[in-house]
Amino acid sequence: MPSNETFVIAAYSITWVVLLAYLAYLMRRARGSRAEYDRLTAGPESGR
Amino acid sequence: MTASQPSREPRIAAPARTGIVLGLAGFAAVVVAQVHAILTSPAEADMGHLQKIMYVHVPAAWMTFIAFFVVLVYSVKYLWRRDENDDLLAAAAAEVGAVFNGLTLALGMIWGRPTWGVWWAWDARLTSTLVLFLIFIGYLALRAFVDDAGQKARWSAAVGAIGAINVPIVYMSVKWWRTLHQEPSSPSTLDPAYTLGLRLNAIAMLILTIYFIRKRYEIARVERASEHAAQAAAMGTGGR
Amino acid sequence: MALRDDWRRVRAIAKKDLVSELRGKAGFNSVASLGITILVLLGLALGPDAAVLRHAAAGAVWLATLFSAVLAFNRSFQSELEGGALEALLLYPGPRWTVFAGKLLGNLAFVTAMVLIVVIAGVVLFGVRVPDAWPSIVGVLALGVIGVVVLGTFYASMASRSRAREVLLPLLLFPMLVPVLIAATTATRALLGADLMHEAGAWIRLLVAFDLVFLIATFLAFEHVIDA
Repeated sequence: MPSNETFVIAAYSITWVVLLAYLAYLMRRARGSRAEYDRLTAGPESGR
Repeated sequence: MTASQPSREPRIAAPARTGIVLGLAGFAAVVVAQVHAILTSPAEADMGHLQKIMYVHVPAAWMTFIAFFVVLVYSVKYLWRRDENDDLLAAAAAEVGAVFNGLTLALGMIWGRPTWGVWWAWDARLTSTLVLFLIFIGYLALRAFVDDAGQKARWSAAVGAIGAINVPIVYMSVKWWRTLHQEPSSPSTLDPAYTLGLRLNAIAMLILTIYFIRKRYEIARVERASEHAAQAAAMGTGGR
Repeated sequence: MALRDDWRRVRAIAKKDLVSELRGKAGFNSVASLGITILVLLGLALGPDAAVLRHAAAGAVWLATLFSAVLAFNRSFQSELEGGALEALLLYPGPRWTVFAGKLLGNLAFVTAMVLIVVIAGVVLFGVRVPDAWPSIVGVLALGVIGVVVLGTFYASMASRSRAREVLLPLLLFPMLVPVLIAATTATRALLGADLMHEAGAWIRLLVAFDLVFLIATFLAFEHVIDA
C-alpha cells in the first residue's frame, strides 16, 4: 500500500479538483444562461 | 397587444460584484486555512500525517449538512408561501450539497483505506452519509424528470422536507446497527491540538459554500426568467 | 357529519382499488410471483450453505418485499393515470387526505397479502426455524409494512406521474426506507435467534416512531403534491 503521505496528497488533490471543477461548471453555466436571457429579452423588445 | 412591449419580467441585474469577491475570498480562505493546518499540525503517533485529511473531510461533511439544512428550510418555506424563488434556492443548495456530499464520501474512503485497510467498512458515519447522498440524488432526479415548473417546485419541496426529516433517523438507525458489531474507529473527536485548524478550514469552506449556493441560485433565477420570457414571447405571438 | 363522509370516501377509494385488483387478479398474482422469484434468486445467489441462508432469511424476505412493493405502488396510481380518473377524483368535494388515506389502505391490504406469501416462501426456502416468539416477528413485519406502504404510496403519487416512473420510485423510496430495512431485519434476526440481548424492543420502538412520524408528515405533505 502506498505511503500515508500519498493518501494525504490524494485527498487534497481531489478536494481541489472537485472545487475548481464545480467552479468552472458554475461559470460556464452562468455565462450560458445570461446569454440566453439577453437573447430572449432583446428580441421582442427590438420590435418586429 | 403588440409584441414589442417591454418584457414583463424585471430585468435580472448583472451579477453583483460581491459575488466575485465572495468567491475569491472563499478560495483564498481555503488555501490559507489548509496551508496553515498542514504546516502547524503535528504528525500523529501511529497515523503519521494521515490526520491531515480531516481538515478537508470534516468541513466537507459539515457543508453537506448545512446545505441539506438550507434545502429543508426553503422547502418548508416554499410549501408555506409558494414563492418560486424559495424553490430555486432549495434546488441550488441541493446541488451544492450533493457535490460536497460526494467529496465527503471520497475523502472518507481515502482516509479509510490506509486506516482500516479497506476502501469501505460500513461504519456509521460514512454509511449514513452515503444514504444522505442517495436522498440528494433522488431529489435532483425528481427535478430532472418533472417538466411542469409548478409541479416540480411543489414535489421537490415535499420530497426535500420529508427527506430531511429522515436524516437523523437514518443516522441513528445505522449507528445502532453498527454498535452491535465491531465498530471501526471513525474520525470522530479530534485532539484539541487540531481544533483550531479544523475551525479555520470549516469557516473557509463555509464562505465558499455560500458563494457556490448564491451563484447556483443566480443561475437558476436567470434560467427561470428566460423560461418566463420565452413563454411570454410565445403567447405574444399567438395573441396577434 | 363531515368526518363520517370523509371516512366513507376513504373506504370507497380503497374499495375501488381492491375490487379492481381482485377482478384483474393478474396484478396481485404477478407481483406475488415476482416476490417469490426474487427470493429464489437470492437463495441461489447466496446459497447453498444452509447456515448462510438461514442467517440471510430476514434480509432476503425484506428485499423481495421491497422490490415487489414498488411495482404495487406504481400500479396503484396507474389506473387513475389512464383515463384521467385522478383529476375526476379530485373534482369531488372533500378533503385531499381522503384520497391519500384511501390509496394507503388499498396498498396496505395489497402489500400485507403479498408479504404473507413472501414470508411463507422465505421460511420454506431459507430453512427458517420458527421460534416461540413468532408473534413478535409478525408485529415487526406489520410495523415494517406500514412504513413501506406509507412512504411508498406518498412517493408513488408523484413518481407515477413523472417521466421515469420505473426508476424514480425506487430511487426516491429506497434510501428513505433504510431505517425500516435495518430495524426490521435486525429485529427479525434477533427474534429468530434467542434475542439474548433484548435488542428487538429498541428496534420496534424505532419502527413505531418512524411510522408515526412519516404517517403525519406524508398526510401533511400530500395536499401539496396531489394538485393535478
